[in-house]
Amino acid sequence: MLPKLEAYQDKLGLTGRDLRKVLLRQPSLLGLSETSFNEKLGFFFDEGKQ
Amino acid sequence: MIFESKSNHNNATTNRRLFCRFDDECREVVQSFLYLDEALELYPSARLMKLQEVSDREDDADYNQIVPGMGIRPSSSVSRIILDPNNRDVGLVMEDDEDGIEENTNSNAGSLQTKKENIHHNITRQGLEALEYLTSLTVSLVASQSRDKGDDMDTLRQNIASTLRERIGMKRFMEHSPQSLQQNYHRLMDLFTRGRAWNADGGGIDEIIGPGLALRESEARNVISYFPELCLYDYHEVEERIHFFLSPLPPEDVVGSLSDAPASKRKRRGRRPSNSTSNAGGKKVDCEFSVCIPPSSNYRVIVLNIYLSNSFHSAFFVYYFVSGARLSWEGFGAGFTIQQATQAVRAIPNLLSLHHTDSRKPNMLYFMRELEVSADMSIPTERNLEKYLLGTEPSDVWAFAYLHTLGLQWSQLRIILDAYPTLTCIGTEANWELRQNKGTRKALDFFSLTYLRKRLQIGPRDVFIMLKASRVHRFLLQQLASMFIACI
Repeated sequence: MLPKLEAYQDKLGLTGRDLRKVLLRQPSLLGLSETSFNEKLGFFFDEGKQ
Repeated sequence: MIFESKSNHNNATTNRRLFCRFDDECREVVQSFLYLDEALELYPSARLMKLQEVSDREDDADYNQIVPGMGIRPSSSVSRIILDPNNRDVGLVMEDDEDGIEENTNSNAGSLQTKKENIHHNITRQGLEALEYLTSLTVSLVASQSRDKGDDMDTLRQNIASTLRERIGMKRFMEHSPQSLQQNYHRLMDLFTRGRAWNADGGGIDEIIGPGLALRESEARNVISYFPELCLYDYHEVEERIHFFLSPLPPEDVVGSLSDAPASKRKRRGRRPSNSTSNAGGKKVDCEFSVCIPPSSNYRVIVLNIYLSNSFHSAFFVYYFVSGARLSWEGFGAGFTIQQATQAVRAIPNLLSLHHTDSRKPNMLYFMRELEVSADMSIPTERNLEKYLLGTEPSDVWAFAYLHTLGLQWSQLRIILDAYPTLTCIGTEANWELRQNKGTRKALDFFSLTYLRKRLQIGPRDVFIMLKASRVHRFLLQQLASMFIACI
């Protein structure tokens, strides 16, 4: 869990306040593995580009 | 002397603007931030200062090092900001006893590394000496309280040493020496006993020497032997907390606004902040961030304060919750009597805890048998303090039930809970939703929960709700999936 929050904040460009808001609204993110998170993020980036 | 700040900035952080005079050296807190990145956004050219770190290697395991908004490695996070090309003016300065080593200096990298290793070695040795001293001190205090003089002192010493090392961790000892511990011990003894009434003959009541608790010497020794972490704290913070307990209650409208209104809607006083500040004479002085890693950095809300100072090497470690700081600055507090505060600290020394990890209180049996707290008290306590006690250890409920039996009102307890988030200890017992999952342990990891609490600046209640929501969310998804499969 510890490196996850760092990764979320870095990759999504969140501030500390944003990170709190995201996790309080979607706490299941804490259970997401880094691979799954990267896959989901990649999916949205790819879809966005298209 | 009170400084004021002016600004043309208009953003959400202005509602947490804070004036707070906290020591006698004319260094004032003029603004406080929830997160460091918010402070940097408002003051992009501010100089970041940090204290010398003992070791980077242990940061992952040291949850007291967390800087909200910046993660658990303050050094790397701060460095990351320095490397940000948009913030060229932001610098990192390591305070050093001799030369003032600057970490962002590329030259003399080898000598810098050697010097850091030497510093680390010296600090480690000093930490071991401090641990040894605190062990000896605790052993002597325990032995002086014990009626049975036939105890095996070596066994007692070994047990206390291992308990201290496990409970406190070596890193906190590295900030101390035997001399500093001894000094703290004497100051604490004075603070805990100076509220007693004295006269020249040793009897009767003539005058109270000064603000403080009214414990007897033996009781004060007992408190410190039970909670030796006190000797590791900054004495001024312990004193400040006791003063806050003893200061008079604020007017009712202020108490109401603290307990009911969310932070963003609280009445804002004074002007808006600015990059530069002016003192009473109109002379401009520079603002400096002091990004320190002090014991109190674990406070939930305020971890970064801006101090006004003409001195470059200013780093002070007093941090408050917004409401507690405002009340304290205005001269108000929780309104305990000396007797109430004395009884509270005598029974529950953890009320003086400055760390989340030190706030675990004695178990329920202690409150029920030793302090004779009625079992009926837990329900009204939970009901009246639900906002603060949901998701905490069960012993927290009993502790505040006991405080209520001392004659303290619920509003007074809300004030101290608002002011000092370290009064409560997050609960680790897994609820039924979590236990349904076979992979979940019965007890949650205390340090992970504490990390979440500090990293996100949230209370036990929010952590509790997060865990429940995530598990229930997964549970509902599983139910929906099974229903979907059944329909097919």
